[in-house]
Amino acid sequence: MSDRILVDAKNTFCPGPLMELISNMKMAEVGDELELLSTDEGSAADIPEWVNKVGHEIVDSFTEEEVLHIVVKKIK
Amino acid sequence: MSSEITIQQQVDRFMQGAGDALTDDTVARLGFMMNELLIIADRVTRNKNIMKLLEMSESKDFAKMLDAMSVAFESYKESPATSGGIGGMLKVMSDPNVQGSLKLLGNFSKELNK
Amino acid sequence: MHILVVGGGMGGTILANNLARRLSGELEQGSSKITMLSASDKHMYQPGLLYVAVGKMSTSELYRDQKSLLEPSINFQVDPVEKFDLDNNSVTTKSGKKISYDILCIATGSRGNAAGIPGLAENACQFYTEADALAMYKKLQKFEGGKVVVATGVPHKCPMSPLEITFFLMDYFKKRGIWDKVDLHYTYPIGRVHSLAPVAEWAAPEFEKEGITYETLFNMKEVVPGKVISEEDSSAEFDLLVTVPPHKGMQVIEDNELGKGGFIPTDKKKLNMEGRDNVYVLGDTTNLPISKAGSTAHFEAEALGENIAAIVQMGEPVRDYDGKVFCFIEAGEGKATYAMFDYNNPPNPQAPTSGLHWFKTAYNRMYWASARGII
Repeated sequence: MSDRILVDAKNTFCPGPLMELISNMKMAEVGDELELLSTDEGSAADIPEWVNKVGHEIVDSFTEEEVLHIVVKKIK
Repeated sequence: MSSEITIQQQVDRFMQGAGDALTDDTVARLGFMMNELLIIADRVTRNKNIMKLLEMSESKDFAKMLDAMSVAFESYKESPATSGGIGGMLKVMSDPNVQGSLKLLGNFSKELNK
Repeated sequence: MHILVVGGGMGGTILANNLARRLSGELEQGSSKITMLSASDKHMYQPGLLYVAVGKMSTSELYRDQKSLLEPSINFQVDPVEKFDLDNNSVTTKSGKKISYDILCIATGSRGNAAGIPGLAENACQFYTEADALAMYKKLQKFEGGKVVVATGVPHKCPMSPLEITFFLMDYFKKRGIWDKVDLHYTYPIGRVHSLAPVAEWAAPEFEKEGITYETLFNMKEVVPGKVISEEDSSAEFDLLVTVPPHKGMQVIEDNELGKGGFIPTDKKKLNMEGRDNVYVLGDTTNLPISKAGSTAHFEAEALGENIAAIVQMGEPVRDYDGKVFCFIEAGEGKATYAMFDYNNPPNPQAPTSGLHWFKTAYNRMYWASARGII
């Protein structure tokens, strides 16, 4: 299994954490895991909403020192 | 109409007037002019030669030189053609003004070669 | 000190000019040299393409000779890089020249990658090249009414363009008197109509006011004649599809394996390539999670110009890039606003005004003075 791909989108406004996740997902292979870091309040709801709609998998989600970490696995 | 209006109202009316008068094309042309002027000003102010020329142009001698060139050229246009040949050359060369000009050219050449 | 700038777009040009001004003494003495390598002898004002696509600007206004924009002290060559040998501080160009450097600045930009979405190139309009923008305008001129869909790929340069093209299309159809025959439908990849929350909050009611429908969480997967299908298993039928294609970095960056997708891993403050102290990256070429916008390249170039000059003159950099971005947003009907933000300060755009539209209109012509490093 390859290393997790880190997507550090802390303190970003544009394009913002979800778009960074989408861009990086496109460049990833099926089976890769991406760990997104976000300080944006809306991410806690936005990211799972998109992940579920597209059909990828949320492997883990936690907050550490006010930074949200969401680990998403590319399913298709 | 009350003559007393606030600064904000003045600004609002100015913008209203500008809005009514200006078109996209006018603004675009003004933008273009501004662009060209900025580029020219930048080049001129950082070009040592042009700044030197500007400095020289402030001296009285510079104006006198320009006048002299203009008058000389006018009188040359109106003067009869020179006869040519060695006799003609000797006649011209004996003119003290011509000898003065050759001395001027000689000084110029000496300065250039320094 | 030989400083090599690869890429003659907005970032590279402003950086090279900035350095040439700051290091004029060193350049005159010969202790420093600046070389710029570009694939083209022309410089294109890319934001103008949006205007060309709807007939508001002519293509001749898009270009100036690259040499005319550069300080005379810059050694400019139309000879693009093909190989980067970073371990040995050199590049090899298309003509076969090997050029060594002390400091390398990569500003090769990004390009639309319609090929990344099956069916997009054949079935949709785009406006990120001169040819595409012109083709789109011609198609618009022939369009008599029907369903127009706007769709956006990720990532892309010019974050405001999906909104701007939508408002410009509305203006265009109204001017032609066929707005009542058009059904304009906007789609966007994330859960609101724009990546910037305050901009989305302003834009969604504007869409509703004008009868522009929208669907969010829509990422293009495939385009077939008359229909665009999303990754989210949704679709939109169209008579005319206008797209912002997904983007990639330049081929040379991918060929030399400098970064995935052609985007180079870059330090967000120092702007050096990760793992390389003498290689800097700016503009669209970075992998930074910030807007791929002209203003980003501009502000990065200013920070980097100051830093590289300081390194040459004092041995140390003097400032960090603070993430500053300033983007105009054309809102249609002769009005515009802007969004300004940096790493620490979120945007706070105000309602659009005609004054700001004029500012943008004037700036479209004053860009060249900015490229020369004057403003």
